[in-house]
Amino acid sequence: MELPPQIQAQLMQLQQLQQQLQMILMQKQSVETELKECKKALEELEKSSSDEVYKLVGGLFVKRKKEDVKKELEEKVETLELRVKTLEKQEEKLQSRLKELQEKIQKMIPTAQ
Amino acid sequence: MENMAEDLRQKAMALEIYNQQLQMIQSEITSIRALKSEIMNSIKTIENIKADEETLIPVGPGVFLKAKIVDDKALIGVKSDIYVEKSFNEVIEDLKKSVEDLDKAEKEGMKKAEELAKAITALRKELQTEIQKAQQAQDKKQ
Repeated sequence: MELPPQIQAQLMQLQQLQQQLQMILMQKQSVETELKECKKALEELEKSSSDEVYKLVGGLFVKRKKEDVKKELEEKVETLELRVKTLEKQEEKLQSRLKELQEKIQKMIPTAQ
Repeated sequence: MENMAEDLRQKAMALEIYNQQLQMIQSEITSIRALKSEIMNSIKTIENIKADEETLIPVGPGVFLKAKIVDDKALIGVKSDIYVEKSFNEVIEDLKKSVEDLDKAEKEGMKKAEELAKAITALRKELQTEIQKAQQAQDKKQ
């Protein structure tokens, strides 16, 4: 049985929204992983008694002041936290649009039959 | 009859998904074991190295350079591109902690793999029984 074009269009939209949500969730997971890594690195820097750390640039280790690297990491944490929040908002919006569309489709199916 | 076929199809799909999940967990366990063995080797190396001692640094397959260890410190990564200097003892402690964490992850993975293997066996049995039933029903019809 072929579905009416109207429902087919809504189903396609639903699929697109689901794909978008999947992408947002993947991005969020990767940003959260990076954030966790940065926070762990900051913790380790706090523990370290040395004033210098080494940064891997290309294939070379470059000596850097611990305080400078800490500042860089703190800024990165801030940026990543903001990014997580933005992604969370996008996720919420998509979830609610998905829910609305699902309800709309469910309502359309009995009338189509 | 149609319901039965749908049920069989769903179970076969679940079996396929379970099998994929099991394969993924098994490959993760293999990676964890490889990493653990690498860390254990590092611990052994650091435990056996001393400051001011001469050693051989591998620079390629079967090629070594003579080198001297200047102090009892090593660089350890705290993030993919940031390394801090720590004493040999501290590095060994950190590495041992990593091995402990990996041990935990390995155990969890093995537990999950065991559970999945059990679920797969049960589902396979169910499927076999249902397929037999379906075949018997078909034979009766004919």
